[in-house]
Amino acid sequence: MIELDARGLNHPEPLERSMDVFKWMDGEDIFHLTIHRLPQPLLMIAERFGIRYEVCEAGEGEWHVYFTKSPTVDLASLCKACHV
Amino acid sequence: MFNRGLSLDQAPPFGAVLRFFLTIPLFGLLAAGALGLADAQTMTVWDAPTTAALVHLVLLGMVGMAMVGALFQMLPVIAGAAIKAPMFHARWIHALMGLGVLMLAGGLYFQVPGLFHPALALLLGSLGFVVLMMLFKLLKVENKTPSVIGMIVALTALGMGLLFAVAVTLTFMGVNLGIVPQDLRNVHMHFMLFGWIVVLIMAVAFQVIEMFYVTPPYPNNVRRWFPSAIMAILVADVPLELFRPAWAGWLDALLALLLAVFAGITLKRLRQRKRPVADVTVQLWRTGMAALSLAVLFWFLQNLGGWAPGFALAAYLFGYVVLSVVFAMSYKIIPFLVWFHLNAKGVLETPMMGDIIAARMMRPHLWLHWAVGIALAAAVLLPPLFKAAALLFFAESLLYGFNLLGAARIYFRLKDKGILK
Repeated sequence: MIELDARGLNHPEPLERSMDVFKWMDGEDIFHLTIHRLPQPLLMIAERFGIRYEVCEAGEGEWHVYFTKSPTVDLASLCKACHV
Repeated sequence: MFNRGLSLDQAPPFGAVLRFFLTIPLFGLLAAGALGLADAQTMTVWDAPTTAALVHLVLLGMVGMAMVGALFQMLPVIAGAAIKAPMFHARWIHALMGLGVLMLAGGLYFQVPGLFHPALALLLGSLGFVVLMMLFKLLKVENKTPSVIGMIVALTALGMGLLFAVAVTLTFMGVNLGIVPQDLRNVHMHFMLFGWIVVLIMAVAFQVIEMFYVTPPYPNNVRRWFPSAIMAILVADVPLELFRPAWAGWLDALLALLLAVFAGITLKRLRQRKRPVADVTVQLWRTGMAALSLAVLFWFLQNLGGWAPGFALAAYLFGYVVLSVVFAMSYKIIPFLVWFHLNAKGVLETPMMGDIIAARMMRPHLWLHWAVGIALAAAVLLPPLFKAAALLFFAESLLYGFNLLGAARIYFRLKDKGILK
């Protein structure tokens, strides 16, 4: 699991750091981004790259996004865990 | 848990937004020329045609272009609804707006009344369509956030401002509406300056100050009520301005206080950034909000203290405030869009956002912008200094245009090198 906690980082650092991860993560990697707001542009780009993602809001100012290039990884269960 | 995200198809093409932003410095150069070549003594006379031309070059040519461009970009994201055929609409709206502003400003500056008819038709057609199209989209949004409500208010005010622009033009062309032309002009100005421009700045600030600079959000009451309160004041102001102008001052004072509160809160939020790196865009926001506070102070000094230059200082500072925000926003929006669209195409050589318009190129712009502000304020007290202000503003517009063009060139150089089709 590749972890990036981008909470509190100034724009555009969270986007740029995440894009770097997109470029070198491989087929089975899971990238877990923790961020203070929904990163819509990143989700749009992920879609273009064929990267699956699952988003969950754990509380005020805390979003978790799980990305993977794998077609089989169960991201939904990872998202469930972020509420626990 | 949910899967939320816009499809890339809903984002407008970069060219649709870029054309509006690249036009801002061109109108800046024209405005600087108009200011520099006009009789300096008339530049604080608000009924003078040259002053009216300058106002429209700045507020319609520069600010109007920025705001319509920003709405094209933000509407799909905020309203979750794409504008159909965005490139087609952007092209004709941009062309008609640009031509309309040129004709209106030219008609005023060179006193060619024959240009008013076509100018009005072009501006009504383009801006009227923007109002109707965007209001239609925004009113359908189910979750009306404060930013959405702010945009609805701003667009409604733009529509009202356009209607009163027609009335003003008719009276100046000799049609007797039974109302003093200057009072009609005041109502038109109020809707355009405070309803359209200020409320749109608020709507955008509610969204971007927190997002770009990682600050606490604006207080709920401010986000929820300020745009509507401003609209309510402006609507109540109409009969007073037209039939009891002496009473309108009370509402203007209330409006001024709201602006001062907004400026104060924005400055406070910028002090509360989690990671206080003061880049040029933060400084531009600060400059704008400090200038807004000063503008309100000068307005009160004239209206309550009888200090004669107060109104002209407030008016020039108001224009300066709006331009500060336009520069701050465009220095965030344009590099982001270049970066975003290149990455979406899979361009592996996409530069970092900070390298698309480098800080070393923005910083001289900030210094020039400060110099312009000082020169304009000094010129109100010593009119020959308007020539110096015009020169500085010309240099500022050139540098700003150079910076935006540099970003656009990076995009066009790399856009076909993507691995994604």
